[in-house]
Amino acid sequence: MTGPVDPQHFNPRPPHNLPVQATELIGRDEEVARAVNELQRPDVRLLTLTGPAGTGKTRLAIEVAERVLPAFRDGVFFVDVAPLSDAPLVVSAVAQTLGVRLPAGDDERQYLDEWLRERELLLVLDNFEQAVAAAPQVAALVAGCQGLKVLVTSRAPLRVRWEHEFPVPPLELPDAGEIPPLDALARIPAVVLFVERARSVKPDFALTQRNAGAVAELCVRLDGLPLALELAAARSKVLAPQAILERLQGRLDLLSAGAQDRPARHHTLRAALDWSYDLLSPPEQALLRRLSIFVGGCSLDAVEAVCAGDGVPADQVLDLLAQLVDKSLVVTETVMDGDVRYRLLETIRQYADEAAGQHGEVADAGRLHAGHFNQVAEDGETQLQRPDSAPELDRMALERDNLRAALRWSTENGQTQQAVRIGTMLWEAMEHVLAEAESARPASSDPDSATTGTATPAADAAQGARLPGPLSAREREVIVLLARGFTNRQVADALVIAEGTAERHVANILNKLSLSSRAQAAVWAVEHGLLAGGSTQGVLETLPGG
Amino acid sequence: MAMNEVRVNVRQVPPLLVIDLDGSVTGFADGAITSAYRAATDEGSRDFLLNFAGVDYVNSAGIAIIIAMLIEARKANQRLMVTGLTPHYQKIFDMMGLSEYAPVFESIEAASAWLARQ
Repeated sequence: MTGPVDPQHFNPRPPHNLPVQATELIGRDEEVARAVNELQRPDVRLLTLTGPAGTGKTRLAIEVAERVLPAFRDGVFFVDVAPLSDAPLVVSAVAQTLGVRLPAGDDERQYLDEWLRERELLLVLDNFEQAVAAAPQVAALVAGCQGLKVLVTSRAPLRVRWEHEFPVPPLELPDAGEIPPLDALARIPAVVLFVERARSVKPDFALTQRNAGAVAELCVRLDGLPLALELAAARSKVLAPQAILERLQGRLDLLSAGAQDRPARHHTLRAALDWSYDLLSPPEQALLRRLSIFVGGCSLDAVEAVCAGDGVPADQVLDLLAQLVDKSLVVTETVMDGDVRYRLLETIRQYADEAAGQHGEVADAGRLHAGHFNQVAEDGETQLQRPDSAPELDRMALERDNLRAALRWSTENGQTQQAVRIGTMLWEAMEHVLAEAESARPASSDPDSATTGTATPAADAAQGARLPGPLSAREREVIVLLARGFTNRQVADALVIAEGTAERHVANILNKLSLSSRAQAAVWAVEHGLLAGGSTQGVLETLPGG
Repeated sequence: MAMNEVRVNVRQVPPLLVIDLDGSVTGFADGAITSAYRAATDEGSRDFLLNFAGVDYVNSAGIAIIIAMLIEARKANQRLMVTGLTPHYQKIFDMMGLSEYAPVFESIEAASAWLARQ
């Protein structure tokens, strides 16, 4: 995008992966308009929304991205950087989100640069404060790709070339010393947010002359921080605004009397989090703490497996989880096949992780988390023996952050069998992710394609597994090994599966392709390009008796 | 060498013990790689560099061997490093977080230089 948005000129629905928002953005009309204007300026290529935790940067970024979507021919793509502990993974995560398969090494960023160069798209990088070391790479992408713009959310600016900072202010507040008339008060953004969120848990909640003072005071005491206001309003089901104010007051006074060297809003959010946490029942507190072990969200099954027990009754996990959702501490997301995943906002996850540390629960949580994902990997192995393995690999790819965390725990704790099982599944899932990206990409855009016509000396089953077609990834791997002259026993050994399973794969392959012999299957593999540089004659010579 | 085999060669490139792999790293490779590593361990080697320069295929069963070796090395206070990965496999190494435990280098010289700085 190099100029002002002309909605009639652009494709109305470019692709995007922006998270669906369950609630309307409140009180940010001015900031949305300003940020959209900024992004429309030709000279603004990297816009960083900055502000302390709980300011609503993510929500604002998503709204802005939705508004400018029509202006980006090739789409708008959202990447949550929070689960990525290593800066190099940021470029990988961007590539995966875009469906680009990258070569590794020093050329990675350059390769992505080449891919992006012909495109007009907006990248939204959320929670970037976790990965500031990747800032120069982001700046380099912006510098190299004219059609690329990047919208970042971060607690601090990236301090790189191209960056335009957009400080996100707290919501506009009422004057607590002089409460305006009710209708005017009801239009002030911080008040609007509190009232809306209170209504979502108590539908008959209304701003009245009686509670107006307390609501205004609450907004002021909470500094207009959206997350703090949401946490407080979530208690409206059982507490009137005056009661919420009284309970929060002590907490805020205590914190503001503490260290003076930290920003006041840090105290405000901390107080709101402490208060919100203290009001939870002990089982809810324990569940919240244990949820912090998950990386990139989790399924209900995972919550039940990892978090139940020791104060969290197994038969109450769903109810407790629903309570945490109601109290704005856990967010839900709908993923493939309509499944629901649960996730802590990053600010709340850090708070819960700290609380877990204070309770000495981190080691146990890590063990249980790794144990669960070991089981997930074991179950996945069984599923991968079935003809269509793609859905299972998609599911594993969705869990990659958790699998990576479980692999790390198992490796650091010397759990060899567990690490091997999880690592094996993670390898399969990552091959699948790269293969999907590869198959989605036109061959002509592959800078490596010039090299694939050269024969390689050993099995190129990896390439076979990556190519699309009627066969599953595993079956493509098997057919390449068949073409290399492997017997069923050797296929089984190479893929660490039972010989009977290998036989079934071979039978499925012949059936799917309407072939009657292994030799025909080998020829099919050559003719469909599964063996780099292989020839029909050469392959037939390698077959037993060939 | 048959298609389904890996050839393993061990050589001293002080201060490293380089384990050169040639062929396919699949379930078949377990005996060859693990024996070479253990033999070198018995001789007192501490810093190992797995050289994948001759490897054109790694599958999940192959990576299982490397993960098991990695944990064994950690338990024995040894260092395991990696070089020669194709861009595709280095990508997966990074995506899995394996390079956190087995640093990946462009060359044997780069690994030696890194080791010298430790």
